[in-house]
Amino acid sequence: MEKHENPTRKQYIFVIRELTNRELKRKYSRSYLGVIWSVLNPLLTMIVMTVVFSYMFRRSIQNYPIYYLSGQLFWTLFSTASNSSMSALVDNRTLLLKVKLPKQTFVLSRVYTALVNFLYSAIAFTLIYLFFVVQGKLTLTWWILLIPIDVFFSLLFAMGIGYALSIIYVFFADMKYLYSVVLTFWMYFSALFYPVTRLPIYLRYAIGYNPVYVSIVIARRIFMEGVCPEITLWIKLIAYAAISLALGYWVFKKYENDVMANL
Amino acid sequence: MKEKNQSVCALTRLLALLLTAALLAGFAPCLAASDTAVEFQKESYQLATGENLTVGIAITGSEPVTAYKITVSYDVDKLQCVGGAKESAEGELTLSGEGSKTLLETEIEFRGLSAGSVELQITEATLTLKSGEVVRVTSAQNQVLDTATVKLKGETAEKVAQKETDVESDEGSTGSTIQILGNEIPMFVVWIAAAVVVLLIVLLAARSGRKKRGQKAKAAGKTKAKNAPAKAAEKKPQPEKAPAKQSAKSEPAPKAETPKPVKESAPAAETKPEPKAEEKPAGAPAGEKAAAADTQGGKKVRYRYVKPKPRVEEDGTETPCIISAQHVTMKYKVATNNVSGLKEYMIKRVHNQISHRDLLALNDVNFDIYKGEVVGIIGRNGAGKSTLLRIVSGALRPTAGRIFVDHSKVQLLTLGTGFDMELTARENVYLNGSIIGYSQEFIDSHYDEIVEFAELEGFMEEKVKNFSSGMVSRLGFAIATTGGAAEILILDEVLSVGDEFFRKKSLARVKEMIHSGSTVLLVSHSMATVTEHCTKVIWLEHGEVQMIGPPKEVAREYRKRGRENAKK
Repeated sequence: MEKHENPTRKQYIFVIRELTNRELKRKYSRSYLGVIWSVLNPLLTMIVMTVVFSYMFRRSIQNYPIYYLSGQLFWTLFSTASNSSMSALVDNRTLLLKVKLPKQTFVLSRVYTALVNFLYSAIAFTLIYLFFVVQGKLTLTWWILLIPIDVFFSLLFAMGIGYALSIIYVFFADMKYLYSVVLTFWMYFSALFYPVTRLPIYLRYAIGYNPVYVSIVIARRIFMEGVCPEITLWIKLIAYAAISLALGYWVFKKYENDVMANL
Repeated sequence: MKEKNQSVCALTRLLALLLTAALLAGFAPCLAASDTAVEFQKESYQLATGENLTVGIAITGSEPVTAYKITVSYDVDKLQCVGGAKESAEGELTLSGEGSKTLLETEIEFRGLSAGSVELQITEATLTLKSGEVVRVTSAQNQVLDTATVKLKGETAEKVAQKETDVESDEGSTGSTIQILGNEIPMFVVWIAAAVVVLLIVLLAARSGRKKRGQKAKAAGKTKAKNAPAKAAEKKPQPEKAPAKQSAKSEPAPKAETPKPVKESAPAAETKPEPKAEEKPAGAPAGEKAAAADTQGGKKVRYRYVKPKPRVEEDGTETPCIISAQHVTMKYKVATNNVSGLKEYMIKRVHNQISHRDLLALNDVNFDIYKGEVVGIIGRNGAGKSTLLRIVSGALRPTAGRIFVDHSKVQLLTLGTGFDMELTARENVYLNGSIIGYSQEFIDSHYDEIVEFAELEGFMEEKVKNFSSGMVSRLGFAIATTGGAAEILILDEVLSVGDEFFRKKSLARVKEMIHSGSTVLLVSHSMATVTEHCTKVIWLEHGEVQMIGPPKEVAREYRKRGRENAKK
């Protein structure tokens, strides 16, 4: 009876992988290019944004495509992870009622899906980045090895938000719409395509506390300036991730069982 | 690990209970004065059909009893045992247990079936004293209680004092109520040399039965003074446990429609009054499910949970209890005024208009399932069958009550759990398998077997959305059963899968699993399936156990009820 051993971590990872697989396949199940869209999508939006804004910001931002893409990549990671986690429980309603998997599995699989998507998009970014490096506009440094840490903690931050949202969404279907508004605002407040210097001084101060912006700044320091990001940025990043994850997980655990009666 | 937690939990509960008891013992004088205090030893007990009656049995002696086995006989036409004891023969229940306290208690839960009089009788008792002495007390069958002689095996002199439960039929006045009149507690007192063993039947009153106020307080403590010797003081804490279970229902709830909580007059420390104390009319109509169930829904109802005990067979072997549901209650909150959005919610919230109706999917469900049993669960749609299965499988946690089962041994077979129509059959095998709990290697090695059993060779790369429903369920069945038999197998309507040939094949596989020693829980609407395969049937109706028993009997009653309903 091989399968009735206590469910191990390996088994959970297998489940998460399978669920992620499903998400990815389903996402592009009716398209011809399939997962290639994950690479094409950021490329195409980058081109559009570059065409529209690079002239406007030509003095304050050099290498606009990299500026935009680095922001866009981290933003998409956060927004898709948190947004898709929100509906993780509701979407898998029937499964939750019948299977005794821990409920986190579903949220984790959504976060993992977002990460996989991010990695595909990173291919596009790498291509563009290497192009700029070869042209001599940017220099490649060893600091680039710090990027995975940045990704990891911004993912943890998104996970915490996702945990909390997934619970809230069970009780309020409206959260979906509300959160999309929040996301829009958040996106404009993350300086994806405009230079921070354009902001009034008090907003520039405030944006420094935007967790998503912190992760973007770290990435830009590394990619665009080739320097090690300041320690304060790292502290902020890790603190935000820890707080968000702790709170989100607490909410999740607290209301996990009430959810079942409300699904 | 889990068990440890449970025992710790049980221990804390016990401590809390003892603390309450001790507290209340201090209040004993005040309690005696108040008529809410003592729930047992009353002069009269009334029970409407369909309601529950808890009967407590207390064992005490001047020398502690360490283990007991008691047989209680009752009238099967009038009462039905729904929990707490095992039916050893028709109309005979066996309770056994052990402990080290000076006062051992156990409970049987009865449900009134039809009007008339009822006799509860302890026919046999085997007690092990601390000294190691084993005492066996029997009363010959067919003898009237008050003249029943109790013989002791052994050499010491013995004397038996027992009082009867005087039972009178009350058909004239209330129609379908059962009235149990006990002018004194039925009690067996057995003297064995220096030790005195007292066996008590304690009626803890009907769950939501009608109470006659005047008669109630009188009898309290009457017999105790007379009969129970030195240990009378020990029993003090006991009466208080009754209100803890009964709480406000012991009040003669004035009218069914009073929505306000009925306050309890006694300073009962932890016994909170229930939110509602309405009375359930005998044979409440179906629609009143939620309301009627409320009578025992309050979270503060305290039960004692007993670790499931193995069943002792006639030849002395023990069959472990695999699943034990104790007072399992599942309550869903249903918003009465449908709030569709946040805006509306906020408005309603401000105006304090948010209200919830409790929907009781399961109401105080009790049963024990032993190793190797094949238990059918029947009942109409919405009777709570699926909820029960989900609780057993561990997907849901009951709002009240406990379920003793090792969730890791449970395998729930439902069809198409986690099938994604957009994926191919092959992908679904992996997805579904992983969710069920198969490892990747396991699926890899059993993949061909699954395909073969499902008879889907050549279709595996197709998207499942293009499959017929029969093909989908065949695939589901093949995946679910390929792992061999789990220790506890839950089959939710899986025996009616596919065409005739496949059904035969799947039935053979299920039988194979049953014979390999699995304990099986089976839900089916097909009576034929149930009577053919099950050894025991649980009949659920509106979240309550209607009957537990041999398949044929339950099926007969179930059909009878069905015909009655059809006539209406």
